[in-house]
Amino acid sequence: MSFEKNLLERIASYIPGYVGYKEKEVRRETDALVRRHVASILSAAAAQLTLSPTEARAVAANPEARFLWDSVKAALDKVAQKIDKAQHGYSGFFDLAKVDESVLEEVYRHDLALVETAKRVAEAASSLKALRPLSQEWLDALRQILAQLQSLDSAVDERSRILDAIKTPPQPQWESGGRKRGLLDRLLGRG
Amino acid sequence: MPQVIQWVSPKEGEIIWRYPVDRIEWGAQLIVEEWQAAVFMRDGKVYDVFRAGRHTLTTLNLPLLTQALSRIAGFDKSPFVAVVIYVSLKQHQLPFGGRGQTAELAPIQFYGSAWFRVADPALFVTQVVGGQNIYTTEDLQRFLRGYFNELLMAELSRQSIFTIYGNLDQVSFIAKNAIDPHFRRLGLELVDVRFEGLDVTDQVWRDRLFFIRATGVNPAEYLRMETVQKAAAELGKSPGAAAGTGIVLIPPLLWPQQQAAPPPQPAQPAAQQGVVCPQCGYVNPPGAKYCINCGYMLGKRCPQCGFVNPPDAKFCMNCGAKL
Repeated sequence: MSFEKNLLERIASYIPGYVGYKEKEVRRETDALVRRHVASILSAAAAQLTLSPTEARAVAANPEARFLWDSVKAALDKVAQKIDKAQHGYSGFFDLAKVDESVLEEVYRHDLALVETAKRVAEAASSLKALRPLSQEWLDALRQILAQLQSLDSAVDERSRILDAIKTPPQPQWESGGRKRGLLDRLLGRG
Repeated sequence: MPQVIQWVSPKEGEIIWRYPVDRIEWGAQLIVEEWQAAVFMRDGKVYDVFRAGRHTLTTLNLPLLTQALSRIAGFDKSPFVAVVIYVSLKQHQLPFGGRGQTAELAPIQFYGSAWFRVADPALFVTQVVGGQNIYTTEDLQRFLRGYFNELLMAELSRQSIFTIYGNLDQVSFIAKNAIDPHFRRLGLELVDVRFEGLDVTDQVWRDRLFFIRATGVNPAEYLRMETVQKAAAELGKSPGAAAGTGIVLIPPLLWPQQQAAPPPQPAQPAAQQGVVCPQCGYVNPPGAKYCINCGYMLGKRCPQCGFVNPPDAKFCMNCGAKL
């Protein structure tokens, strides 16, 4: 419980107003808050990726660098739009009156990872400004940003999967062939 | 029955839509789709922006507008006046086309498509909708097309015709990078620029391009020869004086123009008047990139982009890399 509280506090330090998914009434708002926040971090990172006219001419003359630059811009745009314009789905999750604590913890951990990965992408994009375009460091930094974006893209898909899975409640024990332990069983240490 | 504010049946390609009623009631239901943003304006100022969701308008979720209305007694009960503008956040196509000229003053005609998106609804509404008094999508597209064409013509005028024809993808990359900051100033984001057609409108320039690309001759050399041909044709029209005048006029045209003659200098060595081939010693005409006697490359090849520069170049004239 304290671990969950700690997670909530850490996310709230990044996203003011984040209260978690415990209350059914605020779940949609919390979800939108996380998505908008991550999308705004990525949009700010995209705004950092600019080239001066001279740099643009030099990059344009080098097919590999041009392709890499365009790939990073496209990947950044794709992930930002994917998370910002995500459908307000996960209806099963949003409509549930009560969600299992351990499942909630997994969602919180995922939200935190999403925000922190987005921040790392933004930092990498801003540090690109200090590097000379077409230098080996600049090309390596672009490749690193591309790799981070791919992992962020997977994390967005994973988040949808987790929230979608919640709407399917776990099978009751008697349905899965298990037998409920009675008081006598527990006293005698059986099952 | 509360008032419902919603962008009803948006048409394909619509970017903005103004809610036709200016009287808004407290407690009205504002419905904003995932691909929209609703901007509240009053007295030409943007107050509040709403993203996706169903919002019940109260003094709590209209904090900035409430502040502006706080001077009016009973503002939280009676209807208030505000303009609600819906902005589409989808990608929109912007067809462009026009005439321009290249760095060599060659007249060109171009057309293609650009894709853009509203990145900052509040900035877009203040700069374009409020600032330009544009409320229809048609007017907005006209405004953006004029703006886009002007910037594209300016960028094309800095490019060589050979770059434009040989590497159109390079030009669209450069154009996109050059135009995007101007679009961002309007709250827009330029997603992509693609040329669909490019043509030299002048038949003379088309012939020149074909000849230069087919033979690989230096463009400056080609233009000089063209001048000689024209001069010879003109002289041919005046019988009698033609031969004498031709003897005086034609030879200087066959060589590059010299600077205004400085005071007499001692004779220059042959190496400075032409390019000496390091392999066979033959003195080639100035500007030659390959020896006309043995075919040896006289210039410096750029390690970055492979462009052949003059032998005395310190930086590549194509990409600026150090040689």
